[in-house]
Amino acid sequence: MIMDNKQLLLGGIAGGLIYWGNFMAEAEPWYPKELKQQLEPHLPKNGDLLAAAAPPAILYSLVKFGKKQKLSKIADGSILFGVPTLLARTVVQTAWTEGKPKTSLRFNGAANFNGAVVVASKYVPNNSMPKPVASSSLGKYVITS
Amino acid sequence: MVEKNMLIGALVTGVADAALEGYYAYMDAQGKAPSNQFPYLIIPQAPFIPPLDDWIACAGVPALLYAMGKFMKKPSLKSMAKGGAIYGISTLLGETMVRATWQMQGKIKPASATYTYIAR
Repeated sequence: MIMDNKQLLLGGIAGGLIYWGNFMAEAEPWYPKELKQQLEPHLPKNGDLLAAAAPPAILYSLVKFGKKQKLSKIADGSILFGVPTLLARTVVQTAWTEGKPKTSLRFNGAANFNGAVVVASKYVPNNSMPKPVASSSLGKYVITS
Repeated sequence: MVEKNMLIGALVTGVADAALEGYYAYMDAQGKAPSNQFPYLIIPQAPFIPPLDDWIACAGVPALLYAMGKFMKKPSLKSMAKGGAIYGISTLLGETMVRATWQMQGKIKPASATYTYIAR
């Protein structure tokens, strides 16, 4: 029983060290930029997702396919850290995204707009998005007034 | 597979952590970060120690679950406390590691220490 608890704690701490190690590595210049990106603004960064989910996934694979039964309690420990961490980071990222003021996009200089304002329906937190340019036609949208 | 009660305990601790961090993140995004207000307090002389909100969520919640299990004589609550403690100890240890590294690199200085939000 005590040995089980030690192995659970070891799994949790190993998962934690991998997660926080990834967090620290993010500031390094060699850190891959794909891991800094997000699949969706409300989700944590790809690196965070990977660092939290990979240790339990790898350990459970070793237990199931590699027949390493000794690792099963360590895998359990890593899942006790990984699952709540993923939940907490998703909540925090959602709170951050929702808390940011919504921006509105104005099409400046378009003569055929007659002062119409297009408001972005969703906030896009990525600054690398291309800025809207004034277009000469509205495509399928027709402004009647 | 993970014992159900332990996973529930870890999730309860994670939800408490998420609520406190999420509130800070929401207010920070609005430009009204509650730095140095309860429970977002740190020891200025030792900024490598995680702030109070992390201690409340990661140590307080498992301790509360354990106390409830002891007084109500429910082994399931004690098991939940164990799951919460595994999440809490790992989180506090990791945060201390990050903060200590930052302090060594001079990113956070003891003299001007304010609450540093590191969940993002």
